[in-house]
Amino acid sequence: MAYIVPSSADTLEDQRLYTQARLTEVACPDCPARVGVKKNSEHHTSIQWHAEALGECAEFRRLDRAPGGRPVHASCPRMQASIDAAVRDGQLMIGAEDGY
Amino acid sequence: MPLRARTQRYESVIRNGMLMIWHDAEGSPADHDILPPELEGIGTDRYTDWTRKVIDVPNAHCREIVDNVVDMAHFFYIHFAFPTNFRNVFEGHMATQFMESTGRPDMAGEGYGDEDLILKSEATYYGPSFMINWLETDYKGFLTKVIPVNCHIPTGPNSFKLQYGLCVEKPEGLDDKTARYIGTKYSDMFGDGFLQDVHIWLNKAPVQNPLLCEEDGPVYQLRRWYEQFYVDAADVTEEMTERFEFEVDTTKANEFWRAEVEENLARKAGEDSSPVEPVETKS
Repeated sequence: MAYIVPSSADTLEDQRLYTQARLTEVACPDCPARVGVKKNSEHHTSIQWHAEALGECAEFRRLDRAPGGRPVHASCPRMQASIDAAVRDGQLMIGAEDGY
Repeated sequence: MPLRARTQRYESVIRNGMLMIWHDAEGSPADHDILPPELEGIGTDRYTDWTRKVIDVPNAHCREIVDNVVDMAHFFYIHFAFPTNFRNVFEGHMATQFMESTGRPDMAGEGYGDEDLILKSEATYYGPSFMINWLETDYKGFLTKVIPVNCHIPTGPNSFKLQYGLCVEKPEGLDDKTARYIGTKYSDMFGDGFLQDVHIWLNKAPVQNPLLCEEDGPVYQLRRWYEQFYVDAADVTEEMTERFEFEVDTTKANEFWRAEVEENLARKAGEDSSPVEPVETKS
């Protein structure tokens, strides 16, 4: 497995910090889907989906049924609108903490 | 064939004119649902034939090439372009990079550094080592659709073989010879690009826990995605395959880079216009 899978406690802690810390939950107004979002700056966005939310997203389900399937690059415009609204409402803070 | 010969059978499929082989350490049957998509028009008159090249990378782990999926900044330093838009999406067995760039005017056409060259690129790994790149190039208003592909095969614990090739959608009104010429030009450009990357890989220590700054891409999420191919199918966790979207803010980085390029151009202009020292010749 060489060095591919991290094993040291420090590296696992770094992995947790970069992948899970400071995620704010944002809910879609139109379906039950919720995602974890982080914005280090106005143009930066990090969106973590979970299997459950992906199954609940009406937009993704619609795209799944399209001929050729859902293109991987397609974002959910409703979720994007919810994220923009969360920023406007001050629910989602913009800013980085020590680079993560 | 001697009966005692140790031969191994691999399931295979021809897709887009390429031979795909299913290698499975657990011996499970090939999953045809995760084959890369069929590229419409490939193998017809609309596209040139594939070019094909091989590079041996003797002293680097193949995760180095996969790491490039999230490496926004290396397009400036290694490939001499300004990445103006940069986005990643990982989901299931696929990892995608979206990138738009313009060339660096201080690099006189090296790498992707031709200031008249605008690239719009979408590149997806289908599994750990096979990538299709949908690329639109704009060179002085001349638009070309290019499809580069690359794949790598580990040849040892710390070495791999990189294969790449591309085809070009034949522009309307151009004869086959000119279209092939354009294909060769782009193939050379990407070949040079890979060699620029290889040069880094051969001189770089692998870092398991990089310290990131705000403009860095999501390297920890990418490696979490990549781990799914190094464990048994039963040990693939949801975190490894769950959808993740990331947009890098390239604004600040490009401000600094534009200033750096302006300085380089000013210095070069100064050097070019400074009088040449007279050389004393002995009689």
